Amino acid sequence: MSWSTRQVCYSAGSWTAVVGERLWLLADLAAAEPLVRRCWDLVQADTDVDEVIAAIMHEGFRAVDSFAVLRHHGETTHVVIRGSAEVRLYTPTEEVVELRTAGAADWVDRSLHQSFSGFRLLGRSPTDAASGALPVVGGVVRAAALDVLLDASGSWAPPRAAVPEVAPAAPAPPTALAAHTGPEPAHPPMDLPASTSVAESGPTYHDLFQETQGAMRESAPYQAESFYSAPPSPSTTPAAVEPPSTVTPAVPEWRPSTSATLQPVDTDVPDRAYPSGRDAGLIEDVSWALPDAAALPSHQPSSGQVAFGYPDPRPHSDEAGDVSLTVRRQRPVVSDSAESNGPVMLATRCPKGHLNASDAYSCRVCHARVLEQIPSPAARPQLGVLRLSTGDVIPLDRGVIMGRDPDVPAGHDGERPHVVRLPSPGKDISRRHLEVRLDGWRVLIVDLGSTNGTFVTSPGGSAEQIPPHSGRALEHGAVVSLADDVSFTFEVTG
Amino acid sequence: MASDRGRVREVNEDSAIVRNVVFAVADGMGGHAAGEVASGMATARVNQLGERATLKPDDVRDALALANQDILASVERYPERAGMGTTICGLGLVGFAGTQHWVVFNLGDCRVYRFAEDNLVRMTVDHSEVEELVASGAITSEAARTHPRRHVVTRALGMDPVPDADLRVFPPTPGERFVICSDGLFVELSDAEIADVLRTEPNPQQAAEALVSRAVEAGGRDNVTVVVVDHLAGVDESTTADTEPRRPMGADRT
Repeated sequence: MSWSTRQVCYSAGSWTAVVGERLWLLADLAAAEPLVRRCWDLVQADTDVDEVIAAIMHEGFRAVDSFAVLRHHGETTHVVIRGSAEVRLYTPTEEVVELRTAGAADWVDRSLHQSFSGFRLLGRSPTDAASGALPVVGGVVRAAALDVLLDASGSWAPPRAAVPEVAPAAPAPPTALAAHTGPEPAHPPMDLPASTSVAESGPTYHDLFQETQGAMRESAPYQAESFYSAPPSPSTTPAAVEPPSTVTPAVPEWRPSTSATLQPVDTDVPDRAYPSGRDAGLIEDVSWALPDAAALPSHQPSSGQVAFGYPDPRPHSDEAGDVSLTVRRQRPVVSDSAESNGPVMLATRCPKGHLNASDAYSCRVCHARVLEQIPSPAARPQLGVLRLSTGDVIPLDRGVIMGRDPDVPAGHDGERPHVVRLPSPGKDISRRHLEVRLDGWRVLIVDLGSTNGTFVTSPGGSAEQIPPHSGRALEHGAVVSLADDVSFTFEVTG
Repeated sequence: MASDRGRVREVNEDSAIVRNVVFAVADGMGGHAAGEVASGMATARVNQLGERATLKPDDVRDALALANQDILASVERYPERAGMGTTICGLGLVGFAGTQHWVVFNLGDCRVYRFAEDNLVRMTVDHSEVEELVASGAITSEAARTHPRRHVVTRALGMDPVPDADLRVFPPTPGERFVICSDGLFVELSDAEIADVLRTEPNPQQAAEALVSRAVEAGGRDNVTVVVVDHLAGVDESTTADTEPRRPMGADRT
């Protein structure tokens, strides 16, 4: 039977679902809460997941223990989960990707770049009785689960537990829904094609996609000191993640590491000292990255050190958040926010003035704790640089595509990455080998289906091959290798 | 390159340089011929890049920063030039990552277009108020061409502190053609009209002249400066063959 392009159904329950065009939220909230209204406005406006998260966090985690939010846009699906919510993503070949947190205080943040035919957002609430699914076009409903079907032509229907049929209230009942009575699809078999996964005995795919896990603390009176020179306190270590027991199949050519957990950024790295809040000594020369290196004579670089053109970081200044449209700005502004080419996003500032994501716990640049604050719009600054083994430095004011012979570049609309051709006389590097993509405040490495693979070595770790078409967040100091002779290091910048 | 005074302005405040490895167009602003001073300073600094043996992308940024300083210093010396500035954009051939790459640079509302495979694509983002309106969906790009505030730029050389230039790197493709122009061109001609001229004029000098005269005919209210760059090199064989697969990775990779 014909579904329209997108069909959304929900099962009644005690959580609250907010249904938008491309953004869906399921949260452990009473529907009467003003936060629900706020989320509805944001979801309707098709804002980024980050802003919905910012709205939720503004209320404090006490208000929302658990939620799942998913945004699907083109080829990218962004999922954030906290607490006891769960998301299942269904591929056109009827495989399932399950995402859930490891514990009550954890959160999961993933970007997935493959095509899906549908999603299911689930709230694990013991009080919800199983019920049938009702269609919804948009709005706010009390739900225990939310099913989104993207692809109308497929025969896949949102799976549900075996329950009695419930006639939908809509005048044109989708018969595909009514016909489906079976249990949820079995987990995929072990011999999956190499591009999708390593099969495992557990139900989750934690080591398929790079997993971002963090333990968030409830809001508490913060100390004003910064944490960058202190060893990590116990509260900042990641929640224990039991590595899923894996069975390594013979088919894929790469082996994921079971210790692929991304450490939160304030894990201690012994040789980092931040005397003035900057990476003095870590970043040697980013002169390409610094627009006013030559224009601020008052800031003399010491030998071998970086010539930062930025003025000394100042405490948070309200005016730096403005995005001015007038012709000439005579007042000096913090140059990263005023003149950046990046998109305007909700941002917070660490005590040193570095811009961070609206939900940042610690500064991505100097690791200082980001104090609780209302995020404000700011142009996202350049997020870092890639230092090539050839000696060149690529600024991450935009993404980068690299390969032996990458495609012609796109126009000014849409993605406008740098495109870098790499030397590869032995043809070990694929024509379009990898992409470094800026996703919100994260820097992701994506293998574009290369023949010989892309390998990432996190600081203190060993080289791991990343699966193709899946974004993995890079941390400062990560080394990416293409062929044996070409590699680059990612370094974060403020 | 081709340039025309247009029908309204007396002094041509645009400057253009065409060198071996760097091409640029600068569109000056300011009364009493001050705009000409500013655009001349910008092109002089970028001109110096053409004298280098090797060029890197950060060299372009350095040159623009120096030009900004030159302009500010000149205003301090000659207060009647206060407020003068210039936009600038262009194309340079740089050595990067072991091979040659183009770097497209832009500060202001001059544009670089790329014409390849019969397709005209704009490579730069205007730093102007109307561009922000178009980006937010408030007006269409067609409407931007006649908008009363279409000349209001948000970044230009001559500002303090020096604003960021957009730099974008990509590898050269034989057969491609670039158009570097001041806003006098694209305010008068649509993308389709520009592409039309590029299709019918194989010679770059004649293409530039044709673009300028069509813009002036359309009612050129501003100076129009156009540079057309053709990339004619042969095909590099090593880039287009298939990738050689290595042996599958084994336990020796740590």
